[in-house]
Amino acid sequence: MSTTNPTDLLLVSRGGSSYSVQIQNMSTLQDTDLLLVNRSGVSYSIEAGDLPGGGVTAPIIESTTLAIDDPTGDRFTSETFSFESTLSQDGDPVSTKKIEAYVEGTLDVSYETDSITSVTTTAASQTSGNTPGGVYNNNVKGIASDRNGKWMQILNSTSVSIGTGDPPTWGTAFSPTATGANVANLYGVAGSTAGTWIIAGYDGTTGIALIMRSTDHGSTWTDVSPLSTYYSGITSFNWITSDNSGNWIAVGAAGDGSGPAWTKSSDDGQTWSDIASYGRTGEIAHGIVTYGGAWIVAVTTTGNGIHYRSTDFASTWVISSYPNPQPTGTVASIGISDSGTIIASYGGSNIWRSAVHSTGGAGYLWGVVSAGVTTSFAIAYAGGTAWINYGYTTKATSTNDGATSAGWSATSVPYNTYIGSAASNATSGGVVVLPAYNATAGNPIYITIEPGTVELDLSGTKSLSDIQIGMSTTNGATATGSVSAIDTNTPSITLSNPTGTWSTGETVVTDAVPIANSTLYCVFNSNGDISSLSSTAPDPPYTTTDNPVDITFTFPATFPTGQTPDQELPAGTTFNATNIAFNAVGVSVGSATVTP
Amino acid sequence: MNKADFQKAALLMATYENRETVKRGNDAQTKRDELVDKLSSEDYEKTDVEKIIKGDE
Repeated sequence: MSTTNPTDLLLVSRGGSSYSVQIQNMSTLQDTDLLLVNRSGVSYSIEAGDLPGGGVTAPIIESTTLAIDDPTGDRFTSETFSFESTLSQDGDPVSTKKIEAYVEGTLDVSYETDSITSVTTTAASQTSGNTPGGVYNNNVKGIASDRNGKWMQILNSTSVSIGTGDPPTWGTAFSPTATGANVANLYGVAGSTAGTWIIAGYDGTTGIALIMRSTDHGSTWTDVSPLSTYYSGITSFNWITSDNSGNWIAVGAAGDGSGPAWTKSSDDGQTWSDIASYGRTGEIAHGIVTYGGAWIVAVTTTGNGIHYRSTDFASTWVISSYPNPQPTGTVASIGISDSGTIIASYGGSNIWRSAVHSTGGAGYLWGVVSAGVTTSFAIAYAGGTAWINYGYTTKATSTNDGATSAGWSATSVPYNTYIGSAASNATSGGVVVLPAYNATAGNPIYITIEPGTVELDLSGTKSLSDIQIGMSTTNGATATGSVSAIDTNTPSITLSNPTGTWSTGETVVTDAVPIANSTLYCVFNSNGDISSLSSTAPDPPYTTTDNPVDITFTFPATFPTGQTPDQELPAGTTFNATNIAFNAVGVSVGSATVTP
Repeated sequence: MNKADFQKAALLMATYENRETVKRGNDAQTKRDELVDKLSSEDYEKTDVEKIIKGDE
């Protein structure tokens, strides 16, 4: 007598009607259903309730596990893997378990282009953002982003507005409070990528510099002010920055007029050092940036701008080299790119620019470039090699990292900017927001600069056909972008949301994407050990009726090819084991995968 | 890994069975040659041994 298959049909009569039921669906039978039986050429019927065995059940696999017995050393060569598959219901009749084991090479593959022959950064587009509700006038002060899509700005002297999104939607202005603090004359604001926010002003009761900290995007605040009352008069920290590793420095002007003052925190803004002064009477700090362990403060001295620089976290400060002739005027704004280029504007037509020095680092050497606007107020990095220099009546953009005067292109602007502040959210898309003033409405208005693109011309077509729209790309740690267009004729690729600096001579490498490789089944010897591999499943398969199924798979020291398993199976190859439990009623499958 | 490494890895797995078969064949051929030499050194005519091994007789 042959065995039945799950899809075999039974002829059933119920209530005078005939129909068929697959064996794997026998559980739907009623006890009084009549089944047609043929014995020795004679046909008769029996009731389903009279079937032998008192009932039939399909197997149900409850759990299946596969473990690498020794995660150290070789991946496959002479290694063992423990496989266990347990059935919560073994089935009636008892199920047969067919065991399959196979290796599969789904590997992570990165594609790389030929060398970049030229780089073109397109101009960013410009829109106007919303104006927050609440109490405000045209006096927007500090503005900052955590570079993860969250924003904050200081309005008036005591109000904060929270922004979310990229570009941001601004919430209603409110006055932040903290126990023990009488908030007055807020100005400075900064956010870290970890979500810590710092705002600064001075306490209206004590007149001491006030610093407040929030870790919930401005919902609650803690007064973390420096303890020092050393300087008479009011010391306020208008400029704050973080290295996003828990270190912060805030700079401003000492209340007694003895020069720029600073305070620092090395515990992510929870506590701040006593206030210290550079001791240069009459100078005022107007911004601070940091990159690669260097902290650079823009300072206005009598008639000229200078930059202080510290590479030991504010233990010592040195005046950076400066160009000759120095730009004159008050520092209006200072910005820094993802790759460490720093640009500072001084309210005139010229800017200071410092690219990362090969040995000196960021802010070590400075030069002067004409930035294309007559009255420069706000400088902002816009992703890739793009910069925005917003002036009183004109806006200039640079597509070559601000490197040359000819690289700046100016156009007129609809609104005036009054503050030397801009926030860039390049990590999450490169949006730049510059507060401005709408003289007609008498409100602040926000110039939103959308991210531009970088077009990379390539020297050949190597692998270009494998690069897909939307792939993230990188040329190492220095630049990233998302592929938005591919031209196989030029050939070139265009990147959106660019960060860092793309340079000629480099290549573009995409993020790794999984690519399916071959599947090879394990062949077992008489001892049950794996002896070889095959593109087809073993026939007959290895079977058992045990429950649980408990098998140790052992790979050989050498395959019949003469190569070791680790030589045959590249890193990333997975090992998979499957239990297929079946009987006449049904099938249950359990599988597990490991990547040695 | 880059595309070249992937292609190398893919080629390795795609040719596994063929390489195993060729290895087994080469091993069998080597053993055959050794057997012919051994029997030839034991007073058997080499041509007779080769005829039998090749199934000519």
